[in-house]
Amino acid sequence: MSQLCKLFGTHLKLAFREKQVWFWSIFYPVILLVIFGFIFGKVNDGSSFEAKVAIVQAAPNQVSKQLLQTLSRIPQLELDGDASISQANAMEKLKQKKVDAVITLPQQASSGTIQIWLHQEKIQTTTSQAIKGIVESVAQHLNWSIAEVQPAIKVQSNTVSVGKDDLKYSAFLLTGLIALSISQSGLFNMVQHIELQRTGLLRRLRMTPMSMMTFSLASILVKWVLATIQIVLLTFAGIWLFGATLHIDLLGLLLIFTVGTLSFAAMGYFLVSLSKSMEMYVGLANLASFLMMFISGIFFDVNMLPAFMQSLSHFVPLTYFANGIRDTMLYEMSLSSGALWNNVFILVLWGAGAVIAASLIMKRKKLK
Amino acid sequence: MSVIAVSNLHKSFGPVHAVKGISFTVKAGEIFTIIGPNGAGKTTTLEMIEGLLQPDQGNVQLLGLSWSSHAEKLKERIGVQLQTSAMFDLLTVEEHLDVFRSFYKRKRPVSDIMKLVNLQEQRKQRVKGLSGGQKQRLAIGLALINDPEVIFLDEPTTGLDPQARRNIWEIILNLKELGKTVILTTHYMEEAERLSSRVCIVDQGQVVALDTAKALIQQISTEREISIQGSIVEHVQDMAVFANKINSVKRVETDGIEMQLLSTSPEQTLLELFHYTTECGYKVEQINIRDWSLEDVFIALTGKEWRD
Repeated sequence: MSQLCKLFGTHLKLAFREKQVWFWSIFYPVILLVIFGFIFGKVNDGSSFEAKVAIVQAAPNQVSKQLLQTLSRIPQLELDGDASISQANAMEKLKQKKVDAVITLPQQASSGTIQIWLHQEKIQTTTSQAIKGIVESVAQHLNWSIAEVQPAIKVQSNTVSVGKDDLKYSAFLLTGLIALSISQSGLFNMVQHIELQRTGLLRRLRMTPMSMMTFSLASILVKWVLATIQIVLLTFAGIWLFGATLHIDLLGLLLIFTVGTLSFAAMGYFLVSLSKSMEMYVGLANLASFLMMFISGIFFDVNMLPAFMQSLSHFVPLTYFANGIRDTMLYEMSLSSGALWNNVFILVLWGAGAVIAASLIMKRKKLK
Repeated sequence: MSVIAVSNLHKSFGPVHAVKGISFTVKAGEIFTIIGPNGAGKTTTLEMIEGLLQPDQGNVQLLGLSWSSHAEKLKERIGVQLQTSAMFDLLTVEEHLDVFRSFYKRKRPVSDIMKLVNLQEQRKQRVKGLSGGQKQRLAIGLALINDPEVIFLDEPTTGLDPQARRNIWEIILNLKELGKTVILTTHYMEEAERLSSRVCIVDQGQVVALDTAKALIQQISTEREISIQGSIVEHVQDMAVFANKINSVKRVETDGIEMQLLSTSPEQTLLELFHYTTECGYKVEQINIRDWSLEDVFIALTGKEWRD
């Protein structure tokens, strides 16, 4: 036990004296959270939509005036100028991407067409889709008003979740990023092991009576401490920057977090066993991390993925870790939940499989 | 009493036959030096004795035990400094010794070791800030932390400047005074001559010679070369004629005011020669007696030039 404590202290000193550990384990995840938080948070939060449009009113008439008035009242649309711009100038601005769209109002009051001009490269973006939707809706309301009819059926959209009512996308994203960040630390932090091999220090340590098992355990405990710092930092950053509301079950979280940290460290160890050099290890870790990042539902629900990718996501450990973290941080899922234990079980399977495979490969390497 | 008994060791790496039947024994309290050029098989032999490499053939008995059945016991009783002194760069000297100390049941105080390897002033300094010589001293200190009976030092002075090399020599000689058995590898002949109780010369994976440095040198020749520089050519010619009559002198050569003698008894030769020069009033400017070295032994035994 005293040897474990001494080695834990040594690993802790080594970790905190290494500037790279500070960057990759502490600052990088926060930077990642801020960047992804702003990118995905904004895209998925309807209230943050904004577009700049140029409106061409070549021949002002009663209908075009009414349309202009309505469009200018929509807060999400920022009008470029006062609609006195010519069609040619407006199109030039659109080509230069100075505006998101050009709306050409009808030239006759009795009949006419509202034309929407969008940039070809941006046709699939949410902004273009939203502009089209807004203009179509405005035109429809004006048509009803001219025809003096009231729509019989209205559409009202609502949301439902297994979580509390205050559950927001930012919280979903935050918890996904926490899972991603811990998994990446596990996969990449085995760099130290490669260094020990490269410098010959591992060989020197093997010549002492010290147990390599104790050495590895101390190293994993330090990784757990670093992951704890990460989760606390990310949680506070998420709450402070994005207003994420969390409903945490502490015991459940502790379980999935510990199992996840250990499993991903084991997977990192497996990658070490496959690697002949630092470059190969970093390449493999990047590949694993990159593939998992997009098919495990970190940034968006897996239902949005193509069918074959959806089935792939069922095999990826990060899917279960992210689910487990969300279950315990958003939905207050406790130790009595079967779903939580299902995630834990699959992560344990992955971790155990990785350790066994790595040990076999290492043994074969030694025999050679 | 023999502390190490190595018999008929063989080791190959693919097509390269690195060690071809090496055998020797090491007695307690000896500084036993394995010397040879780069690639001679010194480190491979040492690593098989240290238990780092499994021999393809042959047997190693260390402190009466074998690695296959007593690995843990042996690790407690030996100290090792590997050729590459890999360490935790971000730990201080003191922390390093302290963590290695925790690995052993039998241990010496960290302060004692720092004193022994002369690193008290650097105790709070991180390893990455140490000089090459200081790092090597720390590596030796780590090998001594468990107060081992046998210490393995693999080329501890390679790449060090002369002063740092001498510092390491002092430490090794201190170990001898403490009664430790030291197995040392080096490719510096001077180092082997200065430190060793016995020297084992290896070349191309085989033992070429094994004895004390003095005995090895005497094996190749009992004659020593004396160089004398006179002041006048004619006087030197007279001295050469006289020297030829001395029994212990085997050969005389002159070149101007220089004269070279090959003698089996340099002291007797010089005594008789000085009587002659004093009687004749001849002046002798310079005298030099050249010792044979292990390098000469290596050349004589292998027929090859020594290459560092």
